[in-house]
Amino acid sequence: MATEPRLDFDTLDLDTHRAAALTRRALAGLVALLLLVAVSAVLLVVFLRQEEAREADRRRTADAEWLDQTLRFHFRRLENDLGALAQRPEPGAPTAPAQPAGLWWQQPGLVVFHGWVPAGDGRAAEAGTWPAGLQALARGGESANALALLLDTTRGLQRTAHAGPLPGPDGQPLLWLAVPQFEQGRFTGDYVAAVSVDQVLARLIPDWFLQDHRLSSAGDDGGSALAAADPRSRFLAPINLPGAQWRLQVDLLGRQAPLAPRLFFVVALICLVGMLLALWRLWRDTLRRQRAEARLQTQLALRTAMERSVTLGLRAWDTAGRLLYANPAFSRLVGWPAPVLTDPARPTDQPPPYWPPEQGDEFQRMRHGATEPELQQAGQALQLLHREGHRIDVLTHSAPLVLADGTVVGWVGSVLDLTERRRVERLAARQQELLEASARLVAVGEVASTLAHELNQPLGALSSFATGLLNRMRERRIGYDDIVPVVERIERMAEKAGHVIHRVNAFARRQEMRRQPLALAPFVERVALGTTLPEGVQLDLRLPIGEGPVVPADALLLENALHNLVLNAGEWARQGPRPPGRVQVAIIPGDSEAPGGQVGIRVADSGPGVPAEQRARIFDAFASGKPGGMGMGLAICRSIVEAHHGRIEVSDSPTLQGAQFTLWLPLNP
Amino acid sequence: MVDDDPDFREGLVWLLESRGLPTRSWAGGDAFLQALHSGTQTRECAVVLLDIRMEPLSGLATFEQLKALAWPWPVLFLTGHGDVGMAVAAVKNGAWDFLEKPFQNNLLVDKVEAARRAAVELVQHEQERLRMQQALAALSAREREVLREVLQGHYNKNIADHLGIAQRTVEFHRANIFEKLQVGSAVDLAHRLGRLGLE
Repeated sequence: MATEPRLDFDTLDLDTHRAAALTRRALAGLVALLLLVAVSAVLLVVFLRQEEAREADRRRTADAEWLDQTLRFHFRRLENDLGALAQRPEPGAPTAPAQPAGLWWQQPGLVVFHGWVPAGDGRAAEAGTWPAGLQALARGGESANALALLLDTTRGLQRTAHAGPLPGPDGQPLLWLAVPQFEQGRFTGDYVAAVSVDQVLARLIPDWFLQDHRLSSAGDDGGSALAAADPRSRFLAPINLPGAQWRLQVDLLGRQAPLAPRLFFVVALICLVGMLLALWRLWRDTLRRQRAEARLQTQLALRTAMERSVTLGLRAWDTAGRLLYANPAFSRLVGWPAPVLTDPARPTDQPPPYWPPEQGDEFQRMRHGATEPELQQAGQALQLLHREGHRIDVLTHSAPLVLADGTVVGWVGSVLDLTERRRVERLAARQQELLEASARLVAVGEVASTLAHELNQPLGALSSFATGLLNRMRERRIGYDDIVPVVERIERMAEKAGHVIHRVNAFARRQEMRRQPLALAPFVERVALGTTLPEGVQLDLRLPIGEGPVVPADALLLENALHNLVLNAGEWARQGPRPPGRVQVAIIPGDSEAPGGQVGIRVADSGPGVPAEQRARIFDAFASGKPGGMGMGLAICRSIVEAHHGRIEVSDSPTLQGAQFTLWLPLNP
Repeated sequence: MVDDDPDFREGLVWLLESRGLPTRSWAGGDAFLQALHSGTQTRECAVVLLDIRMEPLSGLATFEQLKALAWPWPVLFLTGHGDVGMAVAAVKNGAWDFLEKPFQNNLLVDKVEAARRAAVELVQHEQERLRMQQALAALSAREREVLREVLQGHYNKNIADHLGIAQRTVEFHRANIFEKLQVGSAVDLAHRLGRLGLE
């Protein structure tokens, strides 16, 4: 019992704490992970944006360079073409020279003007070969200065120069080009051409580029216009033509952001968020599960503790009668460990080790007890067998095991140990008996004292008179006449003493005897079982089946006598030389000698017996063999039996080796 | 004899008188005490038999009152069943003896006789003591001095030295003392004085 595992609620709490700490750590990790993911998402966005911007920059630069190179390539061709035109004979001829082949010349309106400007002065334009608009242009203002500068530059630097864009005669911007010609190292003149900027942009740039770019010539205020616009959709591409201040404003049309990486990113983000969400849900679920588990554990621990500490033995069977469960109290009660009792390998047709076979089938009795309303209430008093062999008195209750939907899944039975209770009851009864015995003792003492006093007076006086008379008569000092009154007085006093005795007898016989037919077997059984024997003394009843012999008797008086005998036998059996003490109560058929027949009630014990020399006087009053005994028990027994015209006898018990008292009762007194 | 049961009382009287003991009886302790007070019963030497259970004045109460009267003579108690404890207490308190009923009648008479003899002896003892005291008082101053010396066991010569008188004078005084106290020797004198508790 000492090794019985003890329930430790602290351990239980500790588990919960540990689980909580674990959960908190998991939470912290999760939060950190979440933070990491958020930061990396932001960083990814920033990185993506930067990457995109860099990509856009790269594209812009590439576009600008491409534009520059393309346009310069075209202008070099135009330069070559113009150079070729200038080499033509009669460069100053008024007739229009033949058109060279090439992109420039196939497209009408592209080269607005071209012509030879001979060396000399810039006023050659005024010669009239120039179109009127151009002449007007060349004649004054800024455009004239620019043209003059162009021509000067070509002459000075001896190479091709550009100017513009300058507003043309019809207002559209023109880009000027002058190709110097030299003859034997002498500057002869310039071949000048004006190209329409708008046409250049429209015709020379391939369509694929124009599909998603819009080009325009940027003016001086191009910077401000650019500033106003979205820098990502508009940029300036400078065209490096010597002498020309030409910048192109490029607008990105239908600019498509790179969709795929963004899409990928978004998908990844969604996945990540989904994952986090799932993780969070999982975590919350785990927490809930943990709480439920802790609650369950506590509940389970409480149930286990209750089960362990309850003093009532509990068992459960399945519907087939197999023992499923036995609680520790039951195991302790019968001394068998629960696993042995509930071993599934144990055959069901064999009674369990704690069950005395003569009590029938345990499962049947238990089921019977569960269905009979009366037994449900009162329980069944049974005996169980302890592992060490002794019997245990128990009170059992049983009931079906019913599920919530009403199905019976088995049976459950409780077992209350009555041994202890019986022992306590026995002690209490013994105490009560001692108390009553001492009260009787006091009462009898009082009676005896009173009786002695009552008798002392007349007897003492009588004796005094007799002795006095005797003394006188011996000395012959008394005459006959004096003797008579004294003897008369002696007689009176003897009568008086006799009256006292009569009164006592009348008092003792106050109770009348009422004789009625009495069936001995149930009577003896009731009296013998109703007598509380000392602990450890076993009672053995040998009774005929049914009612047994019937005698006319006063049941109350006879019960008194039999009770006395059984009690006496129990007392002596306890002191017997061969424990455990035994008491045997039997009804024996009478011998044939007695007229009308007789029947005996025999009470035998395993005590030390009655020595032969004491047998004659054990029935006398005040002759007790027991310490504290009054010596009235057997005397009363004898009086009662004699009142029934029966007799009592004592002998040695041949079966139990102790004393044996037999009450002989006549069947027909 | 004091007992409230007339049969018992008269039976005892009858018995005691059969052994030649003159007996008078009273029916109760109060009657006996009244007789003593009124003088109808003199306080001469006697043995008193008291029943313990009496109404209204019990034997013990009567005994207490007798003691208060400085009753010098033996008191015997008669007890029934269960009164023995009381009787023993009474004996410790100064009673002579007790007799348990029912008694062997002649044994009772013997005990009464013994008590009577003791009472008589007591009377004689008292008388001797009285006589000795009177004799001592009759001694002269010188004789008393000599007596003290004698009782201390000195010889006549030493006594004469101690008292500064002649040895013959001591012998004369000594003879006078012995005669007055009616003793034969110094040893007899010392014995008697010691028994009577006198100096």
